[in-house]
Amino acid sequence: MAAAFTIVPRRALGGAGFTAPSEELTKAVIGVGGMGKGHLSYEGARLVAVCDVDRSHLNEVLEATERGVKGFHDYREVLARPDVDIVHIATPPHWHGIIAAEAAKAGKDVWCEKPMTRTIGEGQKVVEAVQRYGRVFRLNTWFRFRSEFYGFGTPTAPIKKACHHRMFGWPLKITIGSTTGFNWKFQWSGRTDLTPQPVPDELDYDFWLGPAPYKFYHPHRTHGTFRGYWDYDGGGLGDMGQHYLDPAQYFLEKDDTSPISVELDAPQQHPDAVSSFRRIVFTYDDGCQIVLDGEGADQNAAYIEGPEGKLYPKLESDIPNFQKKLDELPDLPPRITDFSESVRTRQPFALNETSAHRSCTLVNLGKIAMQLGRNLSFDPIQQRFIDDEGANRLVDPPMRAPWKI
Amino acid sequence: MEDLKIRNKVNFIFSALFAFFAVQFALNAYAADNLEILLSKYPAQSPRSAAELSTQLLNLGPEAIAKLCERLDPNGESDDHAARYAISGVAKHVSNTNFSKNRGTVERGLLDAFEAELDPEVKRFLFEQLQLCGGNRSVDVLENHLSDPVVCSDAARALAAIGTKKAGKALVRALDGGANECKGAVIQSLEHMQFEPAVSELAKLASANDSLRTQALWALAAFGTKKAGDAIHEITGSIADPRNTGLANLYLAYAESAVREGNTRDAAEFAAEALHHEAQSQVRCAALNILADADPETAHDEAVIGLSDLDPAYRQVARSIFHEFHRPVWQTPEKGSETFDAEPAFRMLFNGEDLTGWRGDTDGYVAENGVLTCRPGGNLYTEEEFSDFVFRFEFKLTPGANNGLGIRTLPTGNAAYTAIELQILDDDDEQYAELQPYQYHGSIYGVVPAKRGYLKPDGEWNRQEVVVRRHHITVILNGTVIVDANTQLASENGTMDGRDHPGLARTKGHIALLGHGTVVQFKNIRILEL
Repeated sequence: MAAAFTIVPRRALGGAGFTAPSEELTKAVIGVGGMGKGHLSYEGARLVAVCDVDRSHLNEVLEATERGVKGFHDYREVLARPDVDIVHIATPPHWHGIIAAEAAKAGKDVWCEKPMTRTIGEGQKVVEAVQRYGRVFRLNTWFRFRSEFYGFGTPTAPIKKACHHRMFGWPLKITIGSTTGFNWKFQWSGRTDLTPQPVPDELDYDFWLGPAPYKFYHPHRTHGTFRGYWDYDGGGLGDMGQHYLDPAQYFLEKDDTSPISVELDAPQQHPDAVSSFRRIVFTYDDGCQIVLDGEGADQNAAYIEGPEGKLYPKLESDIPNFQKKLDELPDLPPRITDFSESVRTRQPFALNETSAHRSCTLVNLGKIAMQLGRNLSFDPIQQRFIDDEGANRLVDPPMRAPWKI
Repeated sequence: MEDLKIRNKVNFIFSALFAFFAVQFALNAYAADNLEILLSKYPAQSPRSAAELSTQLLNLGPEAIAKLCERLDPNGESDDHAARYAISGVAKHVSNTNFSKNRGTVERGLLDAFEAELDPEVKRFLFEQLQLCGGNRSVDVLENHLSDPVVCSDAARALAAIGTKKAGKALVRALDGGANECKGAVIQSLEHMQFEPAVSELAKLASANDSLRTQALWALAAFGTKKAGDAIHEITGSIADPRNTGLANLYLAYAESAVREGNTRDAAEFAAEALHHEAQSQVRCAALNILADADPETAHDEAVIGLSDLDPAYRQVARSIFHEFHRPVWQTPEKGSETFDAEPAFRMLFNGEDLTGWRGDTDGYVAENGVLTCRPGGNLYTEEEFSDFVFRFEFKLTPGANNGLGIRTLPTGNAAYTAIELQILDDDDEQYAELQPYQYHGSIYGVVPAKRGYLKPDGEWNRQEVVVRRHHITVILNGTVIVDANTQLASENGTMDGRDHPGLARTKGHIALLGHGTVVQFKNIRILEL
């Protein structure tokens, strides 16, 4: 049978194995009102297009970037362009899943903001699309491979090494809260007193809503404060959850699975507006646990506690000669931490669609528990709740037509 | 006397009625008071108190819930917070499978609210609750709203979430007659529910209705049945323009659904069409992946060809499929020594006991107990010649080790130039600190540098796979791809080391172990010819 004619960009042909091809990679950023602005200057690819449903955001960015960068209102036009290699997604979370999946099906590689998807079901569909269509994906969190880990005060590499070599034993309990260096940012709460306001001229509110249910416009629902509403995100948990939980999942070696139970202590949540939680506990099959301490209740909590030792911020431990013992152990093998290398070689990035979906699932499990106000049991293989019809209806809720994933 | 009896009877009746209404009034007042008291407790401060409040509300019955709905203010102007917390709280409560016996109470209360004229915002709020906890009882009221352009979308979503046959039938009925704008939402709900009886209606819509054709086709693609596939084929013909990504993706979406349904024949047919007619990388990748699920044998054959494809993404998919097919089963180590089960299609080149099948510096190599040791020695060649193949082996380095794997070699000569040499080297040894990138382990010596950092420490066994197909060479070390290159392209503007490598043009030759004066050990040397 005749071989299919392939349109392969010259830069992908790899003239000399892994050395940098002469043609650079290109990118488009979708959603430039907030975090998206930061994406404009991320290294590794040249910006060719920006997209936003708010004309004022779009114009502001176009004025500040080089000439030659094109502006778009409709992300679908961006995805149809052959001169875009990588798509950066920095819209509010309720749009992440649709755009990521469609980008993969349009042949683009994806760099997506956290949280990866608003629902577990969308996350599964993104993983499927990225893997089926042979694309590479990365999430915009990075603590598992670089930078200082918030108030913990050190990078995560030594923590991972210690856990991998079982210096604390197994299973482990990780506590994430103000006493171990992490702020849950409950200022991202929604308002319950909204009244209808006129939609500003520059905002295409229907497009902004996209798959989310129609609700009357109020500025607090959009732009800088969308995090306060279940329809678009999940408050402080939605904002910071994946940054804090992704390294924890990595330490616990749970990149390919999920907890079997979620326990919740929180005030009743408003149907539309997100407020706070006091405590959420995830428990895995093997006994590992992640505790989200929203109130800073555990004053003396270790960040990691195991049967054979504990780890505190600044890498302090109750294990004698901890640092020396750690230094003597072999390092873990390297992974790809430069996204453009993943794009060129087609090898998965250090934080790819599979691991990102699972750490986002932790966030979404917490959100569902909060919304319903109860403890939940979860099947990590089917990725569905056990004996809870309501929770399962929140895994994959129908989207507002014509938008779908 | 008769008058008195009648009058007494009438008095009695009036008294009874009066008493009845008085009691009702008192009960209602009592209930209303209770409702007010209950409302004042929202929002609950914990999961347990939320459950208690919901239980109390359920005890007040559907009338109480309907009363709460009356308080809902669409514009957020009066304080209906407590009502919203109470209504959504009880809907969430009964959505728990353990409390589903109470669902009826909530549904009846919410549905009763629809007797009155409701603002669209209020309707949407109620539909949202039904989306979470509704069942068949709610279908009729929801169906009534499927032709209301303001709220049909929300009603359709609630029906999709309810997901029963009754809900599906209501949606199908709504496809007939009425405005297009609501039908889009209805189509999407049928797709979301995967309601199979809708296929024939969707097919009719896709043929007859121009404005809904695309939506209806995509909805059909969500069903993996033969009927849906036939409808898609009939309406679209087949893939005419290879650059029509939209159509190719439609076919792939159908093929994916068909795989899920177990309809492998149609899945394979649609996937194969996309594979052979489409030029875009991601479409070919998806087609091959789906084909691997629908028809593994054909996919394997395509994958073998794909190992040397020009598109790195497609090559990666081809490799994964190939590996799935020829997966070695590694045994967990007992006391540090690992064994594996030979992959059925692979042939051992080294018998573990002696140098049968090998020639050259046979004094420099010794075979014992499954291990082939370069003592040190020079070059050892296979007696056979190979063209395209997958070669797998394990090797163990000593400090400073330097050896090489010759590919398509002549029986003699410097394989690095007259053939192809894949370096075998102890990268981290001090003496090798200043080498050129193309001299490190795994590199196509002088031509393509390998990724570094994936060797195990000295004294541990490494696993390596070398895929050689036409001009494409892939080296996978301990599970990581460290070389993936087309040697023609890599050398078209000259080689990295600036020297002539006539061996790159060879299409056939021996495989060789190229000793360079150090001790290296090998085992489990096997090959699959392509």
